[in-house]
Amino acid sequence: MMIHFNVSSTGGMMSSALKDIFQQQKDHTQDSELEQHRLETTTVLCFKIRDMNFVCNLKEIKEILEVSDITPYPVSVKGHIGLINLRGKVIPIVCPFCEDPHELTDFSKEAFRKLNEKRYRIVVFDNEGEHYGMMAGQITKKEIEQEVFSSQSVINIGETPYRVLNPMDFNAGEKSA
Amino acid sequence: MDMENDELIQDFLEESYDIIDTVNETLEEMTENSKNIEKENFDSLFRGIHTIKGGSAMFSFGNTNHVAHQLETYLGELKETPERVTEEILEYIKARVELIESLLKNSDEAESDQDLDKKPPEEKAEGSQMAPPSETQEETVKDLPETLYFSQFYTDFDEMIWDFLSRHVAQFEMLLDPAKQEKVTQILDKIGVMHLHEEEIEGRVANLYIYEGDDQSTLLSVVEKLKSLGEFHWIYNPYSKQQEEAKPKFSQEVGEHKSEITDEKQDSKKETPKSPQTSDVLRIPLERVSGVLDNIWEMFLVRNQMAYLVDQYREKLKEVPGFLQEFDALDTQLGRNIAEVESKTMSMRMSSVQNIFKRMGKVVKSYTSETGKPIDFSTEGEHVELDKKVIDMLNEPLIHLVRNAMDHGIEKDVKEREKAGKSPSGQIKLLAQMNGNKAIIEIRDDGKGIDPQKILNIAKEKGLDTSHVKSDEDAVHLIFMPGFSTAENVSDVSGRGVGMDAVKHSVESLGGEIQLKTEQGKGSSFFVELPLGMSVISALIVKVNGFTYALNSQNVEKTERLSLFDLKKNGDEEYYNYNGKHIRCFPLDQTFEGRKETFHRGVQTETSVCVVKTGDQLMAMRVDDILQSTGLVAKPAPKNAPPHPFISGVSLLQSGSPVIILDTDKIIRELKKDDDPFQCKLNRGNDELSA
Repeated sequence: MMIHFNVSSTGGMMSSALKDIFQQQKDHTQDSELEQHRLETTTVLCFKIRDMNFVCNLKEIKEILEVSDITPYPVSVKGHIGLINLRGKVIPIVCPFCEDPHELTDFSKEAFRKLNEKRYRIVVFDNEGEHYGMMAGQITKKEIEQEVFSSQSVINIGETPYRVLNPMDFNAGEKSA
Repeated sequence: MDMENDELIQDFLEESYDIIDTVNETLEEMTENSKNIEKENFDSLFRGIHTIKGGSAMFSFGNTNHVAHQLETYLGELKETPERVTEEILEYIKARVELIESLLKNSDEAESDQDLDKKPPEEKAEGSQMAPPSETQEETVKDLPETLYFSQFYTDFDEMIWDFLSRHVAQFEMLLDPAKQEKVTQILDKIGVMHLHEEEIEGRVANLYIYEGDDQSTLLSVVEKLKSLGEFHWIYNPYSKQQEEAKPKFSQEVGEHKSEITDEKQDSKKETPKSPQTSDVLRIPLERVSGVLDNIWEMFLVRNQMAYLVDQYREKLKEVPGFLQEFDALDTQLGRNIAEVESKTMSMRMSSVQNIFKRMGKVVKSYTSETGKPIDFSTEGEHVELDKKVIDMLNEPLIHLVRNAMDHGIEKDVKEREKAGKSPSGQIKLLAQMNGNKAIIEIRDDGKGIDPQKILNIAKEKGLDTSHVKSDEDAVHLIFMPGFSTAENVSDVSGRGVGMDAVKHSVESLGGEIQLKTEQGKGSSFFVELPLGMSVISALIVKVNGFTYALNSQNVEKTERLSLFDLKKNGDEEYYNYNGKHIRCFPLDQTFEGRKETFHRGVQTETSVCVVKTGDQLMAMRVDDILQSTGLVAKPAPKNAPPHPFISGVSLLQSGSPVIILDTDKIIRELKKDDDPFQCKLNRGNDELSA
């Protein structure tokens, strides 16, 4: 509730008490507006795959791991890197738009260390109860308006376009995301 | 409550399918021994159908209950004069049992062509004819209540008494331990409930109570409390429009407590083989067994990791007197125990293919009587066991393959067969065998085979993509493409063009694959290869181009470390000398990806060879090195992994690294494909197949 104070009725003088009340009210309103704003935003994860920017709802993400010990396939498959051990379960790692995973890494310990230094990580998603990981770089967390995020397939964050990634769209049979 | 009900329904269905299998076996025996049918044969059938009838009523399977009810009545009459039974009557009974099975599978939905009220055939035997159940009898029978233990008791009532009971009197039955029976009866007596009848059933007592009073609330309140003392079931509840929904918790036992309905209960009891639904059989949801297996495999992994840890410090641990010896002994014992538990748990999920083969036999029999085409059916390898879920899902694809063989494979004209030197009856055989970690089911016919040229032409007419077709084998495999059908007329049996691709899809969804071998004029064989499921396998860990892979040792006949110069060359082809015979050797390092440094390692002089058996052929695979032999828990490739022809499964090494288990059959098949010097024969002039 705003207190409308008519300055003229008091001859222009505001008591300190009223001033405090007014200030409190202003602070409260700002807090409410901030709260209101907070309720309408979504936390997202932004990351890069090769040269493309992607964004994904943080709720879709199970966890984020450092790159380590990936077992490659005997013959490379476009968009797929290999397999990792996630606490006793073997899960696949994908890299959409990667033609040949051997261009990204030679699967040695040294190569994995370098990927970590370049801030590559494995982002683990849940696709209908089955987990899979995605090799991604330059991962950052941001808050964006929920309305904007949920309704678009490409959104702008700052002046950078990001493609919205829906983990449920992943299909191992397809060769690219 | 819904989940509990779902489980009960599932139990009922499983039990009913078992009963139907037993009933069918009995009917087969009766058919083979049709001149010596006895009352006891009908007792067995009657009990089975009665159990299904009772269960179907409990779960509101109205159609199933109706058909079971009719059949039960008919069987009840037939057993009085078993000498009158003809083959036609037996066929009728089999058809009704089949109908019940179909209704159960379709959640009690009847298909439009299914006659729920089909009357039995008129008897042609001499002497007194067995009259079909009269209208009046049926009505009376229909009006009888659904009781679990007192059917005969109610049947003995005359109409007047039943009429009174049904309109005025609450009736319920309780199955009690003898120790509790007196107490319960006394409590009920105090509120005016009459103890009308009792029957002993396998050490417990079934009690029939009736209540004529009008103190509904007291009765219901007392009954609620008594439910904890025994199994309770309303026969007739006049206070509720519907029967009480809280079903007795002993639904599994419904089939076990066979009501002594027959007059022969006083006769000496003949030992009849126990049906599967007796109390020494425990039904466990498959998911629970899978959960236990997951735990076992985790134990196996931990055991491997412990062994790996000790191995890493083996040199230092040698200084501790006796430690390594004791550890190795315990480790071996632990491995053995885990393997035993794993094997026994796996066996809980497994079921032999015998029943599914029998079902196919019925399909063939039904087809031959519908069409008049003479076909003999035989089987081999019925003892082979598969995961129960796989067997359930295999039913439809197998039916289609068998029907396909009958419709398209076996010649229509008997003279055509005789001209070709074949028996007048077509031969269809189902064979099952194990091959390493796979089961192979073959559907073989001795019909006219498949004409690859005809298939290719039809595929082109239908606008299907034939650009990949390079051989006769590729051409005949076009039948697995969606939209393919060669039938001029879509028959009821096959030829809708949606069959073979659906079969392929079904088989692949089980983690298997389907292959076809055919020879014109001689016949065709479809091979359905299925994995036996996750299990501990003995594996060879090998290195190819710097990466580690696993081979299932079961497929490996021999390994050898040798010099590259010991391999014989024929142009670019390599050959390995296996016991004096040269067999083709495929170098995996030229097919698999590798670490960059391996391409610059210079000339390799030593190599390792694994001789593997694929089908009935021996092939050799060359790898960089064989690291060790170890046990692995083989699991299917993860769902989101790409479909890959070389991968049989995945596992975890002792170090914790994932390892790919190679499918040696598929690898060799792929390598041989690219290797065939005659693969171009289809490209000679206008895409015509060579003669």
